[in-house]
Amino acid sequence: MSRLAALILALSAGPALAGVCGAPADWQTLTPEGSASFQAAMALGTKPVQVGTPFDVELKVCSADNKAADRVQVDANMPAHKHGMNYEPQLSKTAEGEFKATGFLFHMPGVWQITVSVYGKGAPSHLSMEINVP
Amino acid sequence: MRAAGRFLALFALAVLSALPAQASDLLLSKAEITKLVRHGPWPPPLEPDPSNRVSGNPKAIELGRLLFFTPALSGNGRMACATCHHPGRGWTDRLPRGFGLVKLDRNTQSLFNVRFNRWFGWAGQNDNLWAQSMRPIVDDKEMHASAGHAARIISWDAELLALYSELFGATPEETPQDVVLVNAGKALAAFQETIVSGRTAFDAFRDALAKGDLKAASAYPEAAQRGASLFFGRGNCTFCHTGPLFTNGEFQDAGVPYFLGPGRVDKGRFAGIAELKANKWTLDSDYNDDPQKTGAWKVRGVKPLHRNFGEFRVPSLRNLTQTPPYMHDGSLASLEDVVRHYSTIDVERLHADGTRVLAPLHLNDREVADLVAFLESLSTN
Repeated sequence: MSRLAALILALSAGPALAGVCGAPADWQTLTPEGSASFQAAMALGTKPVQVGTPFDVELKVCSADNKAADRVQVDANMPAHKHGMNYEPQLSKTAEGEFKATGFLFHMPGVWQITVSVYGKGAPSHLSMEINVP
Repeated sequence: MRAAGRFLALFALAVLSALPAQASDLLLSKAEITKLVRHGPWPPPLEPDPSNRVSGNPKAIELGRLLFFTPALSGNGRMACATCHHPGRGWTDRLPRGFGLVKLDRNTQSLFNVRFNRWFGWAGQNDNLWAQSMRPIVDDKEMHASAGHAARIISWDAELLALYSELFGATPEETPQDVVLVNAGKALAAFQETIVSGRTAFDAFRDALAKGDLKAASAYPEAAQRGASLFFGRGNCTFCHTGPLFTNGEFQDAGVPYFLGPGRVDKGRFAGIAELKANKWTLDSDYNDDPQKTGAWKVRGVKPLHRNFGEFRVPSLRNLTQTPPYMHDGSLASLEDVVRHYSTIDVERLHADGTRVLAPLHLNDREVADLVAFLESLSTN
């Protein structure tokens, strides 16, 4: 067995690497718009997301200097069609820096963008991730 | 079950990807087949409605059936639910616009597969089937009755009374009248949940593709295959007509005029959301039998938008041949008319800021016929 193969095997057998904000490795890291002071990671409650089927998301939010988020907003839109969802997700805080949003529904196939805005001290942070719904 | 469906779709894709192109006489591309396979299997699982404690109960289905067909439930004793939702006419009336006590503003929707809806009515003014079942009973333009009238009708008929009392644990006289009406709605819903359309030529084609059985798939007519290629390909019909039910369950402006006459406009979903928010029979109410209120996210989260003006619910395409005429105002008499409407749609009257969902397809006569052949294959004979 080559050293590289042994290394891959060792890594795959070990614990999953953590993502940002201590999220599990299979969570998706959101892309910041400009110089955001907060980071965020998200897990989709349903994989893959299907057209016309409601789903929830879990969210972790943190900052390098451990600032608390005063308020968080989540939403989604289709950039190509310039429209959003027909529903406003309901966001609840489950722990410090951790949230659950229920009531997402993508009513068309295509590329959707989930957006997260985090408000704390200083300028708000805007982050997003894209999902291609077949 | 959903996981099983996804597995089948992936399996079909793997099988089809492995096939050399010349091994198949199929007229669809692999991408179109991948989309097509997502429109099954049919029927979906028939799960009880958690908001209705008598959903799936045979006695509730029987009570609902009796209530559905009795004209006594209407104020004048001459109109049953079945008058407008006639089983011999595809569970609709086959009129452009419904008739109650007066001519109504919208086409009567079929009850085929109504149990799978997320929203009810062309404007989605109800979020559950039992509330939607009560609406025409107390509507002044339709059956023009009342909760008290419904309670009396059930109390006066020995068979109705026995079924009602056994199901709900008390007689109508021992129960508040609004609760009797809700219970009648739940029995009517239990009956309507049994109206599920059968398997079609499309379903056999879809399942054959999902299994990689090209011999069985070849039984599907070529015209319908060409129509399917338009539907899943250039036509982009699956933008709104998604999944096994061929609807995303939401609302869309399909370019059909919504002016009802001088000074009168059908506001569609815009008005539907306003009605919903004022509705006391939603899944967020205490009439919901589900302690978790799992479906209440819809009414809690739905947001009124400017674009809702003139939007109507995207209908299922199953059993279309049994339910003419078409569109929210019944203005298109045939499936050919519907296809030609989308082929020549006037985009100037549609609200869209970005890439348009609807655009004229400019179909020739053969393509129109092919698309109609595909749509016809979604119906049982």
